[in-house]
Amino acid sequence: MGKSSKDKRDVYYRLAKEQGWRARSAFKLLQVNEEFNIFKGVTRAVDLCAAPGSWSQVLSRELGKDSGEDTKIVAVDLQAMAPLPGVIQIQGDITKLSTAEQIVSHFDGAKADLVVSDGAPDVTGLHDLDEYIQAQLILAALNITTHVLRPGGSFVAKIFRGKDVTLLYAQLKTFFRTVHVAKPRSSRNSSIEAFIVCLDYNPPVDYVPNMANPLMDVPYDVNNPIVGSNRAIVPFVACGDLRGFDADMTYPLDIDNAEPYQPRDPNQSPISPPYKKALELKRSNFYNNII
Amino acid sequence: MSEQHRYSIQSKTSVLPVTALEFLTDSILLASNGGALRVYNTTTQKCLVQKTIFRYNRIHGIQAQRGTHKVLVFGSKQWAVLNISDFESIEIEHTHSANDWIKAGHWVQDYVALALAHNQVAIMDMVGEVKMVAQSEPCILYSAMFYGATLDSLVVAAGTVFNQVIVWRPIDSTILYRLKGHTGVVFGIRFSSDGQTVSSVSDDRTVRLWRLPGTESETLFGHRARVWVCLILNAVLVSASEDGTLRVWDRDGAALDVWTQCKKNVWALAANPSQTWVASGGGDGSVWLWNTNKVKGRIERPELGMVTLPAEHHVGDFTRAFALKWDEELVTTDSGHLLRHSRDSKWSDMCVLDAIKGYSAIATSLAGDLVAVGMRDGQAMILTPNAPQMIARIHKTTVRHLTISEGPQFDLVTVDANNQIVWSRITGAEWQLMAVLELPSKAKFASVAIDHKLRWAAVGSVRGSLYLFDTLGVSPQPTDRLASVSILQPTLAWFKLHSKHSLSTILFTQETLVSASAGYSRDCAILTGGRDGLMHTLSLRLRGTAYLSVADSVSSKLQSDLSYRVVLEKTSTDKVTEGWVERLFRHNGALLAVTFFRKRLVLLDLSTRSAVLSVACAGGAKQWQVLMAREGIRIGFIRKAQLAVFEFAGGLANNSSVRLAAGISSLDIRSIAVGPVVAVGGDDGYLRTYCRELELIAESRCNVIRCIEFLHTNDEYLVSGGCGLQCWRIDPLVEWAQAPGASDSRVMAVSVLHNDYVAAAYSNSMIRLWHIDIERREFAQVAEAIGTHCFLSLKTIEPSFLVSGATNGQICFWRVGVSRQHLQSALTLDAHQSGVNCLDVMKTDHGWFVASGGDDNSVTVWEIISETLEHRLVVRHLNAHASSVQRVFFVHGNLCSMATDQRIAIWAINNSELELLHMSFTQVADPSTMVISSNMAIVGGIGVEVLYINKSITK
Repeated sequence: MGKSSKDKRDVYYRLAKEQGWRARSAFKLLQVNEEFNIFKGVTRAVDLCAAPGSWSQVLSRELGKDSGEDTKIVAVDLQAMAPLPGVIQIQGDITKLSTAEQIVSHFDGAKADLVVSDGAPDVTGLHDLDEYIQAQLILAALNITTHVLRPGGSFVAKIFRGKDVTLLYAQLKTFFRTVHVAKPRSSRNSSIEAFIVCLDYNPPVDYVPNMANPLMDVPYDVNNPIVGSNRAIVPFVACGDLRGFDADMTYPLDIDNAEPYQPRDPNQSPISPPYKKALELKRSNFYNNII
Repeated sequence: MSEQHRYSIQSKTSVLPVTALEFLTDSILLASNGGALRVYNTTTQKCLVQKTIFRYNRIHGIQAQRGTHKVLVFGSKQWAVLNISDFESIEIEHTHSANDWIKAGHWVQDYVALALAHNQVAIMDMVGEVKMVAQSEPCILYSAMFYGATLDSLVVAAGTVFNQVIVWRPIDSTILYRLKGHTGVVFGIRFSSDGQTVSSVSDDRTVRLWRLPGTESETLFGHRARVWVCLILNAVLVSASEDGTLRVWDRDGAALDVWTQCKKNVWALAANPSQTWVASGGGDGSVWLWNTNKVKGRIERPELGMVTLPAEHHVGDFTRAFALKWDEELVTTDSGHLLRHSRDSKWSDMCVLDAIKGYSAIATSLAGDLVAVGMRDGQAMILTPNAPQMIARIHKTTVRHLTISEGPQFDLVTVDANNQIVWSRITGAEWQLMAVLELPSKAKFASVAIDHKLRWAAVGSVRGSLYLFDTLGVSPQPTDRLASVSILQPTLAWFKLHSKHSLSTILFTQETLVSASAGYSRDCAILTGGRDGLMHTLSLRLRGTAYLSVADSVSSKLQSDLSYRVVLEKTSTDKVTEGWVERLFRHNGALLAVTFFRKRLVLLDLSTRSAVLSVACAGGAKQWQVLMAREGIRIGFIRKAQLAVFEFAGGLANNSSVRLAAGISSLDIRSIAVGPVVAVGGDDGYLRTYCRELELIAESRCNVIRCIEFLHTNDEYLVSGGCGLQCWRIDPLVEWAQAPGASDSRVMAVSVLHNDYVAAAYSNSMIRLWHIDIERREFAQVAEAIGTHCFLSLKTIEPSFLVSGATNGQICFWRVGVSRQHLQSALTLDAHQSGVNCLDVMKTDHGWFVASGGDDNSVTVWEIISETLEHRLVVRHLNAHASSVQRVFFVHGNLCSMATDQRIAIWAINNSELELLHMSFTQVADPSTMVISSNMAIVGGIGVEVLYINKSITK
């Protein structure tokens, strides 16, 4: 497969390379903001599960762009990430209280206006398991968010709209006054991925943030039954301009007539994959010499 | 409405990924199928009983309590205790819920230990009361496994998202070992029976073996993708992977064997108590049994012998050609000797022939009982065990190739330097010339097969073409009368069947012989293999005088009436190897292929899709022989002018594997259509046809399929779209025609019109209307139109409209011109915020109802007046589902919707609102297609489920 064939099939992949984003997911956050204005007035933002850094990149380019206010962006990930101007990096675990404390210390004790998370687990292909682990990742992100987000603040995270997604909707509704599920136009129609956009943080009155125990997901109940018309479904909002590019569409390579098409390398090669050693073995012909 | 429809939906059958297996006894196997449990008798290979344990969850683990009939089953947050005492019924004793995902379950004394996803262990009693909860380091687990028979000694090994295995003791929460080394998350853990060895498998594609109490590991590379689990048996290790294979290793981690199950994902493994069989569960829903006594441990270490010429031949002489038998080898040398070399390394001179000085060629029958030697001067020599050697001059020049085709008699085909192909037959001590097979002048011989019974011969050429000869009417001649032998011309040729690669092997097979009294049908199948790595299956059928009488086939009185038409069709194509297919043959009922890839000869069993053996042959692809003797397999090559022999005693294992349950597809199923058969297609690039009970009828390789629809006027044909647009005939399954062009864009939806017209909607926002000429097997484009976004759905409203749905949320009506030469946009409806995944149309008195389902969770119903195209939104339900709606149908005037949230809903359309009549759950994950045919619905995604929609009416 040539360099250009992925460009042809995936217009946002090509645009990301052309516009200098580390990953095509940058467009997803930009389009969520177009719809919900989540960046408005934000001076302190946290990017959880930040690597490879495209959402931090978006935050650093967009926050304070209009108001000219000083902004602080803290990016947290287990893995190290290539540095980004204007972004403070913490290499740490989001389930640790110390990480929460570190974040708040960078804001001089103040709390964040916005927390975002584009994290996704290793997807196995067993959809029920993948959806559960993704939900646990969101709940871990929510747990640390309850330590660092100011009341009224916003939370955006990637979700999988699978069979038990209403459990997550029900839980998030107890912490935020407004919860939407958003699908940016740069996310493919066939993809199970969507984004939960939670506005106006308002935890239950008796809620005490506690990092010692994980935040567990809720069971199905009368307010959110497994089947029926009372399921906890949140409003869907498609984000991004319809006149923009269509993620599912096959485009010719010359979409912009002013500038002829040039294949480009990705801006950020993927962080070292878990199967790095297996790749090296493949390159040295190991797999061709075994049964 | 005064009468109310009441619905119920019941699951009838399903084929779903098999994610859990457990043996109850040596021959009773429990296997999961979604939330249901099946009991198999592995001896009779029958499914004894199936029962749904969890309606909304999949079974992820099964643990039998030894010595009792109790079985623990768990999946997601649920667990259940079953009683399976007579193997023919399953009794659910208790069902409980945990507050977290259950990663492992285990019987300990009278309790059940559960390992939970946040690294907790809960000890539960049978009624679901918690006896004890222990917590280790908080983190999310991908896997866990228990070891130990008492609460005090119980340990759990937890595989974390942080790439570690933490072995800890729940009784006091002590961490015993921290096993570090994996570079990816840990997907599966197993203990050896003594608890001293732990296997862990990971995203990093390795299996690691940890010998406690140490924390150092051995790392086993071999799987081409992620590994899901590795069993530790007494003699071997067996691992299962995303790459669709099981690999067998010795206890030190040396590779012994590889068993191929399916295209993607072997999820579950279990061994029976005596460890004679390993059962495996596939992503395609198949269950296989593998015989651990038939592990080809020798696969990498066959005995290799070099057959060095005896001392008197040493100087200047070397091996030219050879024939392997089980007990001896025959060798021709450059100096013209024919030598015999026995198993005890004794040499004997059989003869010296001037005509083999400096050149000779040899062919040997599969079992080694006939050897034919070709000579420089056009002579050939036949050596059989029970007759004296025979020599005849059947060519005028050097014999270049010899091929032996086996039957009760042997058919020998010899080809000389002038490309003359002579077919002769050896029956006992009789050798007769049969015919000369004449190829067009430019075609060069590569391979041949003779079917003595149905009277066909086929020749393959080095440029990949196939020539078929009708051999009826051939009369045998003595070997010295070449001049009077019939010269046959090809009846039919298929040019470049293997592109321009050599068509290196041909095999005739007759799957169904018509009964003897009716005579033989001459219909058969032809398999061809080539150096493009492909195997084609062709069906050969006669139109006209189709039968050969029994008498004719026995005696040599032959019918001379050749007034028939031969129809040769490709029914399937398989990629057998990345290298060359050099020979296809049958042995003990199995279909085998000799392939060459990267300087190795690999013998593949195509029946089980597994490698039987593999040897390094260096440059030996020119002269080689595979001998299938009763005692074993021998493989010979000429290597550096010497004969090298590999020997595998014992031969091909019988019953080395058994398929207990058939699978369907390990990748997403994208489309299902119901006609005379059920047609299924998806991401794995196969079109398959099934009967309604989901028994496979036929399959054919093609490209990725997204949509299928049967033709209206002629439902023996269907169209499929995806990567390309094809028309297929279904009996037998044959690709009938292909639409030209458009390789970049995908066909997202098709819809059939009357008179063999088909509309296709593309990912580049084109809609094209095609006409299929069934007779001429051609697609012709008759009209096209362009939209603005990628299309997702398409429906026909006869006679004059197409309705499309696209990623921008719009439904578009397109007027089809009377002569079908035009497509014109007529009406646009803003139906959804994002993609319109599906549409359905119902006729009304003045027009139609159109229903749509969107990526935005919503469902809409519109009413359109056909004359004026006046329209109104009847109803829009924004939160019909919790995720993307994949299919909508009008059913008895109500609306049925199916979505990625795995719910199927039936709605009554009442005064601008949808009233939910019934909601049901499907076990098919990521469902992307559904079809309704009377009261049957079939859902496809990761697997398939057949459901029955039952309706009753109350007033």
